[in-house]
Amino acid sequence: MTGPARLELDGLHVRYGSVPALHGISIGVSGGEVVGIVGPNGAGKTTLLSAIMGMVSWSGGDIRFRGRSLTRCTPDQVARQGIALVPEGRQIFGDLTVDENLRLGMVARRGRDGVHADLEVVFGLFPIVHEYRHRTAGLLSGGQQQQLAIARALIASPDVLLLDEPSLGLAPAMIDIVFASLDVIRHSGRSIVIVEQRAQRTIAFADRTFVLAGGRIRAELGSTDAGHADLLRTSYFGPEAAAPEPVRRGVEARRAKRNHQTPA
Amino acid sequence: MRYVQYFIDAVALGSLYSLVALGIGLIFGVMRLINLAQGELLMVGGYTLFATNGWSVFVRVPLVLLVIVGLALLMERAFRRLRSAAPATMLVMTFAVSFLLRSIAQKRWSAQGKSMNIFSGLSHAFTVGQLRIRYVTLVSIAVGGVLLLGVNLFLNRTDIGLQMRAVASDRRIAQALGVRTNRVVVTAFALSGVLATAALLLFVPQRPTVTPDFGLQIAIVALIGVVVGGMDRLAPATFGGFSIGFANSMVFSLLPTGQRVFLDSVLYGLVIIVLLLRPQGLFQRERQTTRV
Amino acid sequence: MLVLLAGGLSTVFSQSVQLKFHNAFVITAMVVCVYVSSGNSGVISFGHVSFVAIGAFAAGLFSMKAQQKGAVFNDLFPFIKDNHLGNLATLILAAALGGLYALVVGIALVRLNGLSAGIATFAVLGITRNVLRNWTKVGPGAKSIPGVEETTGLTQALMALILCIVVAYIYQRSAAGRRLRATREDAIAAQGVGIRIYRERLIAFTLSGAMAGFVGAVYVHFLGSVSTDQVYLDLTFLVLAMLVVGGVDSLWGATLGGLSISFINTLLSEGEKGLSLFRQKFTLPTSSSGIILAALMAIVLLTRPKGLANGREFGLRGFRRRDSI
Repeated sequence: MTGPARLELDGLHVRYGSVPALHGISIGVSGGEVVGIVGPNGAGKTTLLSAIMGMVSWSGGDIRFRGRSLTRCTPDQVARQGIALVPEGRQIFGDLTVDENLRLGMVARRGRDGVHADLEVVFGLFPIVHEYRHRTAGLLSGGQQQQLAIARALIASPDVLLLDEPSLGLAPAMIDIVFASLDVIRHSGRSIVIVEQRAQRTIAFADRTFVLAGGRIRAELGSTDAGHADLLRTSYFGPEAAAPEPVRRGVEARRAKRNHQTPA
Repeated sequence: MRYVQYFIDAVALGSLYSLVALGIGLIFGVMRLINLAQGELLMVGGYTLFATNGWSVFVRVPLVLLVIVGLALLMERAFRRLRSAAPATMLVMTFAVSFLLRSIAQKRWSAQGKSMNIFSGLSHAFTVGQLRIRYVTLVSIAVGGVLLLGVNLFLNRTDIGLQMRAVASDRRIAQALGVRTNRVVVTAFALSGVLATAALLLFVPQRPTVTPDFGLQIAIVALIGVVVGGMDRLAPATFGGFSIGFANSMVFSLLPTGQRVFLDSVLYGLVIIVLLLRPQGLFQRERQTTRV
Repeated sequence: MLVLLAGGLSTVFSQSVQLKFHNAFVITAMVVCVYVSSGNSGVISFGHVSFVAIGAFAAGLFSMKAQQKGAVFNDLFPFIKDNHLGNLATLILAAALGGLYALVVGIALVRLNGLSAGIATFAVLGITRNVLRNWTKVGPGAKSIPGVEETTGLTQALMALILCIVVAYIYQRSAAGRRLRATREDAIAAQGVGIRIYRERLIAFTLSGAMAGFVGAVYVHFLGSVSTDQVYLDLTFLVLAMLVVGGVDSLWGATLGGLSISFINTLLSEGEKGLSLFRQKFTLPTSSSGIILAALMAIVLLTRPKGLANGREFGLRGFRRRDSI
């Protein structure tokens, strides 16, 4: 990727009390680029996104957005500068209507210009959101809520869209819808940072994918590396992962358990 | 006919408590804080009325509003640092503020009651058949209704109202969407100050003396109402406040004269029974309680 | 350490101020009582001053001579009016009544959590006060109980406090205490390993009720007289504030919060009358003690939201972190 980075993590360190969560992460995201972050549970993926949003403070390094440091920015200031988050587990406002959720997404917009055009785009991507505008959001299915969460973030017209496990707990058909919509979004010039446990699909979709484990970047992969299971396995578990089968089953089992807990 | 009389009086008292309860509920909603010092807004307003006895109503009402809202905003500043503290810590902090304000009042005006007259015409009554109705009764019901409706419209029809509901539901996510949570919290405190002002002006005809404990007594009853109704949502909290005011007046009227000293015991007994039967709140839907 | 403290106090302060420190020890004992239930279970109680009140009124009434009671409180039930007990007996009676009352209240209320529990226990306080104040067959009415023998001196107050701390410590380290603390940390997990929350809470509630009744009796033997307003709202909030300022989740916090705030409170209210400290005379403006006290508590909460003790606990070798218990 060429050109100056739009969003730049520079040697980022985050710790929770005395427990370190991220050790010196450096990632640059250019305009229109899709960056994937994959890694096992507890790798620090969600922490990374939270740090960008200003929801956790960092102990070392810096995060810059369009050249300006985000140090001491509160989450609402970060959002209003043009970074939008689709949080893990969707986190839509279940008590409010779909429409009200979208209106809250507009809070971070810089100016009201183009709201209607953006709404058209969003409704084009997610017809279901338009159809259920007046429903209570909590009554939607998991997949519909995920679409609403992405729509809510998009309507802020962000330069950078952060997605935290958008496929978590969704049926395969729903996952296809989500990735199809992201494919449209990437062509609108917005940058996307997507955190996922579904490594293969993310690697194939993203321009570049970073493998995060134990709070460090273990590998950087291009979109053509998707088929290289060995490469991925070594990145996840280190070069000494001699018997990958049982371990992988463990990961699968854990994922299946999480899916079970949050039915689509 | 006697019961109709009781009923009207009870609705009037219920409206007053529902205003205080709504103020408590608004603040609890946006920052999970039970403000025991809410009553001191009424107390300070009461002393403002006392200090301005004889002035024009057109000066006194805006002045009281200004003083109460100003104090509410000062409280917000004091509580701001505690937003992520444990509930018990926040509760004791609000108690410390309440205690502080009551101590200052006691030092300045002593524990003796001071009279605060305003709208004295409201104490007069007219009769309809056998009913004897004071003007303040009607005004309380009307003002209570209008303000509850107004707050409802504010929450449902304005952007800041929507943001307030979002913050009440999940502050982290609301903030990540760009909502300026400080501004929302400040608005909630200001609004609860306005409600406290209205409640104070309507309480004056029936409780015309202000003491340092004047507000605490009202706020504790309203707070009990809020918890009995259900804290998590505004409507149940407000209905809870209404119910406790209503029950207070009704039980008082129904008790034989000699037994009226036991009003508190009957009321508190009812509160305990309701809490045991519906710990999640009298007007709260079951679904809300599955959270641990 | 407490003995040293008492000794130190006597050298620093004049005789009249020393007397006032009994108050600090008794109030701290109340904080420890509330801690036994609220601190270990994590469920706040506004009702413990009811048990203090029951203890104080029972001890007060039964230590009055029968003919004296007949003259002042003629409405009392005969068995209260005609009987008289010695000091030790009134303490035991107060503990028994406090425990019994707490057991009855607890059977109904310990199933409640959070704010519902707070408000329900507050309602118990309201009822207790209302009944004691208005039902002249069991209480003195709006009058205060006069002329209770003042047998609580500095030593007795200190002994009562130490007794409460020891009981609280033994309970906390016992199997029952550990089970209750487990429910505080994670109610679901605790139930998962077979702990019955209701039962554990009821044990702690009853124990702390008995302790509170006992402390109430000690209190009345210190005050010499008692009225319902002395054991109501202000005392309730003061005791809770001490618990939170010290740190709710450790016995050390409860003790530290109780001692520090009540000493400061005593100093301040003495200061209003003029106080000689290190042979210097200080005088505070009238009724400023409440203002200073409230401001101090607010500052502590703002700077140390977890309380003065910050989770530390009494231990045989220095202080241990809470996690190690």
